[in-house]
Amino acid sequence: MRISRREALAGAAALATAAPQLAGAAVSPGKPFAGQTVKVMVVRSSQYAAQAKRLPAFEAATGIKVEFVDVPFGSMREKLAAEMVAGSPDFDLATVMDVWIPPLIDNYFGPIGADLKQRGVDLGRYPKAFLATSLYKNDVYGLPSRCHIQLLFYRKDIFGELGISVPKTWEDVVSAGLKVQEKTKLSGISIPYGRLAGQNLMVWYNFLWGAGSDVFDENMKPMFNNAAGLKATQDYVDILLKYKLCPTGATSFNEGDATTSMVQGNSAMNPCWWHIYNRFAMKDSAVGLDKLGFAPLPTYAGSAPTTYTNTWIYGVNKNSKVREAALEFLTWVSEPEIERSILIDPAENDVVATQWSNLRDKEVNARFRGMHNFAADALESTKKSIPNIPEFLPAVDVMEVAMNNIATGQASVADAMNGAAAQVARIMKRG
Amino acid sequence: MAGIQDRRHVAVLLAPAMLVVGLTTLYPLGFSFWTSFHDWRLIKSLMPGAFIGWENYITAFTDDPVFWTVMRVTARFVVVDVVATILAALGLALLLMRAGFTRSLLRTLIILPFAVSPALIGISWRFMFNPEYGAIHHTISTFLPFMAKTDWFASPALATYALVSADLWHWAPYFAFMLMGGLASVPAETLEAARIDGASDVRVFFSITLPQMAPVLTVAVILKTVFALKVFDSIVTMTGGGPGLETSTLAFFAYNTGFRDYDMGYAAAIAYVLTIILFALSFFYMRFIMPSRT
Repeated sequence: MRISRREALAGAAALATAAPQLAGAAVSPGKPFAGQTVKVMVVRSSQYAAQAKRLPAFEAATGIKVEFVDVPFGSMREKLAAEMVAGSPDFDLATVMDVWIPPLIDNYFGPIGADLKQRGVDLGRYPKAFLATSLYKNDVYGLPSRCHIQLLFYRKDIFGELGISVPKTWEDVVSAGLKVQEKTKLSGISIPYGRLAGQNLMVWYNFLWGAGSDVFDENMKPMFNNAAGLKATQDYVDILLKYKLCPTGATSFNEGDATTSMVQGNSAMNPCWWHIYNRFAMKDSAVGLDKLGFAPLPTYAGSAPTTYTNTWIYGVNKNSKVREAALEFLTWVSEPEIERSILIDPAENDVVATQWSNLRDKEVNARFRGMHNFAADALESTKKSIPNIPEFLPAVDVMEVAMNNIATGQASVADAMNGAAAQVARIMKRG
Repeated sequence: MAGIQDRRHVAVLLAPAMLVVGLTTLYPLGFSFWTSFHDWRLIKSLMPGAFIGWENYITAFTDDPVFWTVMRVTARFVVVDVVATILAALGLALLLMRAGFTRSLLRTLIILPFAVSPALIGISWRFMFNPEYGAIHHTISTFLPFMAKTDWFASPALATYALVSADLWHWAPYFAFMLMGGLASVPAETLEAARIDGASDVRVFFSITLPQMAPVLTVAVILKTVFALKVFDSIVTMTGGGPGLETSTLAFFAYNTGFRDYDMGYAAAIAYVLTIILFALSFFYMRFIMPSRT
């Protein structure tokens, strides 16, 4: 489905009409911070671009000028590290991904629990899985801002033509992929096995959890190389190496490359974050929304469904010179109405919802064909997540290298995973 | 008296430049050297931790298998890159030495790759080697159909060659110009005499031209070795250090350790290992090559 000029105009009109309501959402009366400027570091995405369009309403209501500076995902980690080490007050707020948060706690982000309570921000409006990455040392260090669950996206037109049922298990995925490759020129499924910020692990975690293993045991010792973990890893790479269901180049694909393969009409399935829905709505997509289907992420037969949740938070820089104005903006932008206005805006196709009210919203679900109800169900049932510890960052680097070594045939599953477990154990021991 | 005043005058004029050099080069060198003897992990503290002596260096050489993998990868990359680039530069120099309008125009155009950012080259090459839509991949597949399903970044060898091709495209013109200077210094009378005596072009090249160019070739090889050791941007944007660790050079490893794993002390130690290698090369150049040329 392409956005027509009529829909774009309708979106602009809706935004203009909603502006007074958006402006009024949760701001302090009397414009106490008027004249101040709040600078926000955001990861480049359609969601924050949509938020930026709504900033005039906030500025009109508060007199606070907000500047968004967007940084590409690939550069975000280094940018945050540089800002943290420099103790820079340059940015007042920043968006940061879950695995990158622990080192920033108290070094860059300050606690805001008391401020949020004073402002009447109800943390219960967020799913626990999303909120968990904001909580450290019995305090709150940010609010969920950009949160993702995983779905299996597939070509429903091709599945329909070939009589393929929507996969519910990884075995179904293999069968579906083999049939697609037998009957069409498409690759069965596109998965990123390349190295970038642990992206080749994000689907693998679900294999691990579904098989009954995990990254760490209860004593924080690596367990991904136990028997169940090795089986899960073997099943994960077999999709590429044994069944050859992935496009050529998948061993170096990052997440974006893997999705591009499906967007360009070269792959029939792509397990990824729900936000890639937006890419299929773009004009340059060879696969329109009418050909796109999505379903909960498959699992092992007999196992409960899982989803790895990826959460970005808005944190407040402890060195900010306009902290109260920054909190004013944070309170406003985290209001459910702001998020909802983007979700139902016909000029936008961003699906990100971080709060229960929007996940279960009838109009949102009608617009996105029930995707958000899928997400809400997954969030209610998922019990597994990645650990919230600083050591997980270097551990991810070790695991992604090991996974890439397996995918490129340079190491067996056992050798790579055992070697990675030894390195991770060393990292955990160093502390 | 005039001599002392001249020296003071010189010192005053040099002072700003020395200050800039001190701040941007000497201070960071000294601080990172100091850091390499401390335990400093940003996941623990923003401030450097305890003094640990040579422990970071000992860890690198005795306790970290990744370090030796990276050293092997670095050596392999440098050898392949230097050989390929110098050979390509020599070929370009020989082709462009002759006079003519076309060659003059080409001499101007071939310097353009040198003006392109290495990071941009890496991104472009990554796209061009993509098996689904890459221009280089499809060109090669057209002439060599058996390579149509090649995943360039899945094999250590092919990923290295892909990286080297990007670096060669960037640096070969620069070294071609250097070698053209060397070719111009070969006495024309010697070449003419050899041809009169019946020597073939190939014999003239290997017996006269190449030996006469030995000094400039040596300089080119040493310089290219230094540049190859420092390659970083194209690795980040093109291969990400993969597959596995097979394009992770020392420079990339030091960066990853410091800015992704947040282990600043260990990263400083790795960076100093690279510095020592570069220093050794520079010392060799200054001590043995420069005097013989002057």
